[in-house]
Amino acid sequence: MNPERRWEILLHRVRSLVRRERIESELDHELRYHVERQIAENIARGMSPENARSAALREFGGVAQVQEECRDRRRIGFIETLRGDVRYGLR
Amino acid sequence: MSRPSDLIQGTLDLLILKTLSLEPQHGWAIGRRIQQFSNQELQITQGALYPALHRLEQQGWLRAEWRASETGREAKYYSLTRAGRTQFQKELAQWERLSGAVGLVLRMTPEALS
Repeated sequence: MNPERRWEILLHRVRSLVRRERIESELDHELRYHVERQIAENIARGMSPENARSAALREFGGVAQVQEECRDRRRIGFIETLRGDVRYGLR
Repeated sequence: MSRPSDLIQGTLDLLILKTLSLEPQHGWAIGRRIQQFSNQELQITQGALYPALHRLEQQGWLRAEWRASETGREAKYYSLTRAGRTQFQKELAQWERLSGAVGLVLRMTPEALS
């Protein structure tokens, strides 16, 4: 493999990582907004800030779990797109 | 009335598409509206809502953009794409056919069997 090709591959990998990180933190941001709104609503309903927070987090279930599911959906989408590209290329 | 966890995925999609057909919204508000309009019967868990929103976006029926929300903080607003509007009409028609058919079967009487 020539050095240019190697460099190309490395750049591509780095870009994918940076993009993935951006998507991860974006998802994190999105879910946090939701939890914050829920906490605010709980407080408006008369809960103490302590209880409002734990109730919102409890209702949310596993934040990590939701993130994992969203990631899975994107992964599946990516694989399907890839399959499509390969099929096209073979024609 | 079925619990949100019993709703098949397609029905949740339809509810999301309907909610967004009225105006762009962020996830929290989508869940709220569905809850309010169903008279508190349908409480969509975040565990169901966000994967559905991401999938619909992946499929090209929704687009998303970050905007200042009513609280001043930024939120991710979803809206229907043109393909999404078409899909909404399609799923709505399917739903009406399906619920009509279920209704017919539920009205089955012993007399009708003879």
